[in-house]
Amino acid sequence: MNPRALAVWSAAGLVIALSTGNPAYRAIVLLCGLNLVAARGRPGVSARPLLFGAGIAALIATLLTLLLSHTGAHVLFRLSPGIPAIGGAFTLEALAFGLATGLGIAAVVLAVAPLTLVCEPHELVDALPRPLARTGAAVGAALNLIPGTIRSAREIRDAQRMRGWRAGRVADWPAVAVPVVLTALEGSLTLAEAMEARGYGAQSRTHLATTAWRAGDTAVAVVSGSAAAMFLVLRFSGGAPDWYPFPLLSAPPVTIAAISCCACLVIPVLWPRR
Amino acid sequence: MVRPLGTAGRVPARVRIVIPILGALLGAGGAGAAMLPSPSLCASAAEAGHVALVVEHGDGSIVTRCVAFSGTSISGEEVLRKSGLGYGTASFSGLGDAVCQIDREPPAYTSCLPTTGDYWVLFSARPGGAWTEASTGISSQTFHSGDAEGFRYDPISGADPPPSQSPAGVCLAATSGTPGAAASTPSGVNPALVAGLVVAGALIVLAVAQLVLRRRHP
Repeated sequence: MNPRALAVWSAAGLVIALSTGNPAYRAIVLLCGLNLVAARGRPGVSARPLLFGAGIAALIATLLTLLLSHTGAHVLFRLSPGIPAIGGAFTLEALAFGLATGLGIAAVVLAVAPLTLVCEPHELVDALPRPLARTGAAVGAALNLIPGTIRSAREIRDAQRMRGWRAGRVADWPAVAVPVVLTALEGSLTLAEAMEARGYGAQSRTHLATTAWRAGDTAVAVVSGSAAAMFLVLRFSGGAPDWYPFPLLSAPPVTIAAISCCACLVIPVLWPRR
Repeated sequence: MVRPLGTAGRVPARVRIVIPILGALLGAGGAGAAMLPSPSLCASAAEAGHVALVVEHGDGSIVTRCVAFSGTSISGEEVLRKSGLGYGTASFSGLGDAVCQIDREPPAYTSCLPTTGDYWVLFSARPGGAWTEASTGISSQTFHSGDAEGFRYDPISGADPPPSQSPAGVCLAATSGTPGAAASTPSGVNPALVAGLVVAGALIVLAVAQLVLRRRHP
């Protein structure tokens, strides 16, 4: 799948998930993202860490809303009002709003996740517009250094421990931090020299056209882009009603037109693989 | 390139499995939605009229309803009653009933129109028109199909701005004849909600099918 078509799909998912607080629409975006990752994920790349992180973030959002918002008609239980911040009534409405917020976070993560789980990193850099190509390559290279820096920090820490170093006061940390910074600088210089040796910055970049734009990519871009635009039109004309559980919890209002827009995001899954 | 016999136009195994599942589920959902009680569609012959209801609470949250009715007109109080929202009124002779409470706001009251604090302001709108503040109570207001009734919980002192949401779109499908609008009547199930659940169910089944296929054919 072409990364640019995937970027349009991700943008469409983000637009829908962020333009509404209605959990019904956010859930459909999330499910479409899950389907895309399940169907087109790169072999050997696990989505579990990302899904786990999204789940934790959603759980934290739900708990925070439940703990800090004491509005709503249906009281589940009460804590003494004397307890700072969290004291008061815990309501079903706050729980529902927290779940909807968590769902929104998960939907946004799943809308962007296919960019890293479906495409190779170099495909994403190649897909950047020409004015952003150098910046993209530099940012990509910098991001690639992060895992290496973490790895070297662990190695240096272990080596220092073997020499008797113990993590205690802040004053002890330079023994680890200074070698880590120097190693990172050395790695950056090596990478810069390697890039220069390969002609980076000499002239406009060339690359193998491994991801040609095909009919399926056009379909994905057009259908998802149109779906997001249509959803926005519906959103501002009242055809995609929002949801707010306060002061009394109610089922999220949905319309068939808005659901259809969200369901259109399943198009990359239905389109046959190249 | 020579293509082996029998593979021309062959549909991939993933698509062969996925499309029938999705089609069957969507078809079942559509059939289910079609069999639901018609009053919730706001489009039955018996209840051909519909009035949009917009209620803006003091915290800015907005509740909308599309209320279906039979006959040529409906009173403002009847719209509120058919919406399913809880409400309380007090009678003022000559002006009709004033609304004291909607949707548990305020949670309790001793005076329907207090000298200080907030109260419910009533507005009406004709098809395509803007909100107009009502000069009489809801029992004296008459609405026809396509009209809208609006409420805003607002301080009793100062100006009374209309609800921030336009009534346009609340009865979108009902007015255009498309089934499945944001219509929500006290009785019956919203077919759009059923359709949403069916789509969500189909997507879940699809995701599971993809994972199973992926494990079998990595």
